[in-house]
This record gives sequence, structure tokens and C-alpha cells, in this order.
Amino acid sequence: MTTETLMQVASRSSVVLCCGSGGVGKTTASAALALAQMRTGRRVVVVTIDPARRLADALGVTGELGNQPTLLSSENGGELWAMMLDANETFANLVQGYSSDSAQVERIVTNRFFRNISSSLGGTQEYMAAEKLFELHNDPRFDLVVVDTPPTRKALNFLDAPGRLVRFLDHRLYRVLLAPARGGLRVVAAAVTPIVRTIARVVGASVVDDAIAFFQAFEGMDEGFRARAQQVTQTLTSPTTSYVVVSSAQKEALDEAQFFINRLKTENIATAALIINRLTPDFGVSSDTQTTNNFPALAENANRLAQRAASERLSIAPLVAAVSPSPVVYLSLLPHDVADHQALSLLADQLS
Amino acid sequence: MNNFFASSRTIIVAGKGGVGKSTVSAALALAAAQAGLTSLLIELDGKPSLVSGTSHITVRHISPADALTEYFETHGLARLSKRLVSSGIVDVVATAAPGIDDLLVLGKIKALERERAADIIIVDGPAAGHAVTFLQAPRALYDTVGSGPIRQQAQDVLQFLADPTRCQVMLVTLAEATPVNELIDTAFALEDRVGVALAPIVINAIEEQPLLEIPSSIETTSPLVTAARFHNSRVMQQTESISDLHTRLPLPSLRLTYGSSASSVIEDLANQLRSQIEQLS
Repeated sequence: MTTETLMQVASRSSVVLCCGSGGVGKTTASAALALAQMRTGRRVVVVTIDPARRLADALGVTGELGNQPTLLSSENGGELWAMMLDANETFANLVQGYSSDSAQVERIVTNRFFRNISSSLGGTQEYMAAEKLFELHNDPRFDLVVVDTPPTRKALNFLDAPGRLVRFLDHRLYRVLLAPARGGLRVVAAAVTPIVRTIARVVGASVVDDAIAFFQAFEGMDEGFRARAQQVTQTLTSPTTSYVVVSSAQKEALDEAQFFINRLKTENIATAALIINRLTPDFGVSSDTQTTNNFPALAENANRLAQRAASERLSIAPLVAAVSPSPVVYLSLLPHDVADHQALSLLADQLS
Repeated sequence: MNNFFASSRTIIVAGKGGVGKSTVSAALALAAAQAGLTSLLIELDGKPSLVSGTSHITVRHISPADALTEYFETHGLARLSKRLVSSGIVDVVATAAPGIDDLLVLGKIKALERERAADIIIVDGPAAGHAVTFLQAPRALYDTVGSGPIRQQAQDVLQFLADPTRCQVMLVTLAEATPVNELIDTAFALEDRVGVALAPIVINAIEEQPLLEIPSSIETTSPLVTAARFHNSRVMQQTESISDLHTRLPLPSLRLTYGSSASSVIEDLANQLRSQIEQLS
């Protein structure tokens, strides 16, 4: 069985999701992979969460990235687009797509509770990332969508079927909140259940009123959301969707990477590739004793770096074994941040 | 040494992912234990702790969901609490009042501090970006919730955060441009919007060796030269980042060098912290 390369994995994929803990260069790796794929003539869009200014510069972003893709460069018939996820806007667009009643849309998107959902309800950011991915995946302008997921353990929560948000918006929850209205007068505000009254005493009535107003306005839309969530889940588990785990050799990052690999396994998804970033380069040591004796300080430095490189290789070994036979790409720690196009281009070459 | 640990009873450690926040939290707990103090290490995101409990160190996990459920149970909703969780109403409450879970986690930490659960409480806090939202939650809820127990809780936590003898935030960074920029943004946001005192900054994984001189007599193709050039460019980048940090954010710092052996990183860092803390005073 011949092992694929990371580029081969990406080339046969229509979606690549990069996951890993923060500070491992996940955003940079996503950008470099998108650039490398663009060079093969594909039209690629990279979805980032919050790129550092220097990386945005390296990508050639001049203004601010928004929730709609911006074309950054083209080469060889390929195109590189980028966008930054705005969960709130994505959610609002989704609501608009499910209602023909503009008054209903207005009631929902101006509700304080609705605005809180995208900023505060656990998993919503991730769900919106998945929703955006689904939208871009079906957009004829793009051949490949590269997603840089948020650096939290929750990043893969969107894999939960049928989705936490959908359960949250479910009609049944609304029934628990509100006592059934008598006489079929559904439009009239239904009586509030004792639980809700107790909660209102704890957190304040206005807070609870917002929530109830939201669920009332949302009524009838939950079915559409559920169907959509199923389609999104199908895309996420499709064979042309590949999961790439990014890590450094640092213990905390390795633990997180292992967590992601296991989490994918529970969904029967194999990690398609592993990128180990920020490795100490292995320069080797001088075999020439005379040089070593003549330049003891330099020899000691080379020894120290070689030891560091060796101990890193040792700590990453279990992770490399865990993804076998998927490809592993090793990237060296760079002396400087990836802050210009040349540096990103160099990184793209290393991935190819 | 004890002066440093006596200066604040709670230290919330925060920093961008990958800077070694959990390692530093564990090392800090160990350094306090070595100074003869009892410490309580609180983990917030469900990751296993890097130190195990000893006679001096207690490790405890606090999750937002647990804090919320516990709060319901202690506020007359015990009977309903299971139903609240299974019906999803807990999520409705957390969404209706954003930050309520963060507030309750902080409330729990505050309660542990109040009952003097240990000489020092070290919180392995959320990643830097989220640290601001996390610590802003009490203010936001205090402003939005008109009355009742949550408002009282928010007020108590605000007092806790504003008192430097009870609580300080220790920011951790690497000597690199991106984490340094993020640390500075976080530091200003915490001072301006939360009003919490900042402990000395921890700069982690600094190259210990100074710049190397590369003599002209050595063969330039030798691996010793490539290794030395790599080392030198790292040292220069780190020096630049550290000086940038100090110019833009004049706070004392604790500088930790790259762990020498992988097996005892925490002990090594604890030793370094102890000697750095001594130099502070």
C-alpha cells in the first residue's frame, strides 16, 4: 500500500478541515496548503477564524476580511480566495433563507436572545463554521474549501448529529418553556411554566422574556433547520472531506492533537494527514573531531539542538503511529513569523 | 519568596495557546509547594493536569456545566436540576444570560478563596482571547441583570477581581511577535475593561545561550555553522520580541528558559520560577 502525500490527500478532497490547539501554526498551515493547492490550478477558498495581522499580510489581504470570500490572487488558472467567519451574520443569513416572512426575520434577528446564541451558546460558532463550509462547498466558484477551525476542544462539536443547535431550537424545548396555550390561541402569549418563573427570579425577568419571544418567533422554522443540519453533517462525513490535524512537538499541543484524532475516530473518521509544525531542525553534528575540538561553543550548540530535535521526534512518535498510514508532514520552526508572501510561499513549497 | 505568593491569594494564569500556560500553572503550584505553601490548582477546560496531587498540591477541575448545575442545586432548584439539564433549559439560561457559566465558575473560585481552601489558588485559565470575555462576564451580568442572586454573585465576583490581594492575572507568552502582540492586547483589555491587577508576566521558552560568534576560520558548510546561524536568528528574534514587550507594556517579568530535559520540565520550571521570584523582590 503506497502512502499518499498531503498534497494528494488535498487534491482528491473538496473540503479540508485543519484542527489542532492554538499556537501550533494552524492558521498558517491552512493558508500555505490553500496556496499550494491554488498553484495546481484549483480554485480554493480558505476560511479562517481570526488571522493574526502578519498572516493576513502574508496572504496578501489588503483590507479587512469579511464573511464573504475575497479573491486574493490567481495563478495557473487557480484562484485563492479567503474569508473570515462571522457566526452572527451566517446565522442571520440562514434565518433569512428559511422564512419568506420579512417581519418574522426581523423579529428574530433583532431579538437579544438570538444575538446571544451565536456569541454564547456552546457549539454555535462551530456549527456556523460548518454551515459556511457547506455553503462554500456547494458554491460553483470553488473546487476546494480549506477551513481553519477554532483552537478549542469544541472545534469538532459540529460533528454531533443532529447538532446541538438544532436540538436547542427544537420545538420540544419550546413546549417545556411555555405551558400549552388553551383554546388554540397560539398567537396570544402562552402561560409561562413554573420552572421558567423560578428561573426568572434568579436571572431576571427581562432575560427570560427575550428567550420566550425568540422561541415564539422561531416557531415553525425548526424543521427546515433540522433538514439542513443533516445535509451539513453528510458533507462533513463525506469521503471527499479530509481532516488534517496540526500539532507542534510540545506536550500540551500533542495532547490536544491526540484528543482530536480520538474524537474523529469515535465518528468513524480517519485523520487524513498530520502536520507537525515548529520542529527544531536536525542539522546534525560534526563528525570531524578536530572541528569539534577547535570550536567547542559551536559544537555544544549543535549538540544541544540535535538533542532537542531527537527528544521532539521521540515525543511525536505516538501521534505519528496513531494516524498511520496517513501522511505526516514535518515543518521546521522558522526563525521568524510568517509575515510576508515569500515566507508563506516557501511554506507552501514545503507542503508540496 | 513567600512575599510573592502572599501578594495575592489567587493567580489566574492566561495566555495564547501553545505558550505553555498549563505547564507554567503546574510549575507555579510546585514552586509554591516547595516554599512550604499549600496550593490548589484549578483546571478549567477539562484537560488532565500536568502535576498530580501531593500533600501540598490539590488538583481540582471546574467545568461551566458543573458550576451551573451546582448553582441551581444550591438555589432552591435542586429538585428540578436534573430536568433542567435533560430538557436543555440549562442551555437556554446560559444563552439568555451570556457569561452566566463564566460568572458561576469565577464565583466558585471566589468561594474557594473566601474559605481559604489553600494558601494559594492557581487557576489554569482560558486561552488569552477568551480570558477577556471570561473575566468580563461579571461586569456584563451586573449591568444587565437588574436584581436577584445573580446580580449579588456578580457584585461579589467584581469585588474579588478588583482586589489585588485576592486575585491577580498572570499572563504567559513566548518571546515571539504574534503571542507578544496578543498578550499586550489582552493586558490592556484586562486593565481597562476588567480592572484586574496583573502579576508579573511570564516569558516562556527563552533560549538560554547567548549569541554565538562564528569564526571565519570554520568551514561554512559545517553543520556547526548552520546550527549556530539558526540559534543566532532565534536569539535575535527573541531579544527583539522581549524588548518590544517591555517597551509597550512596562511590567516586571519572570523569564523561563527552554526546558533542559523533557522528563522533568515542570520541576525545572518550578526551580526557575523560584529563583526568578527571588530576584523580583
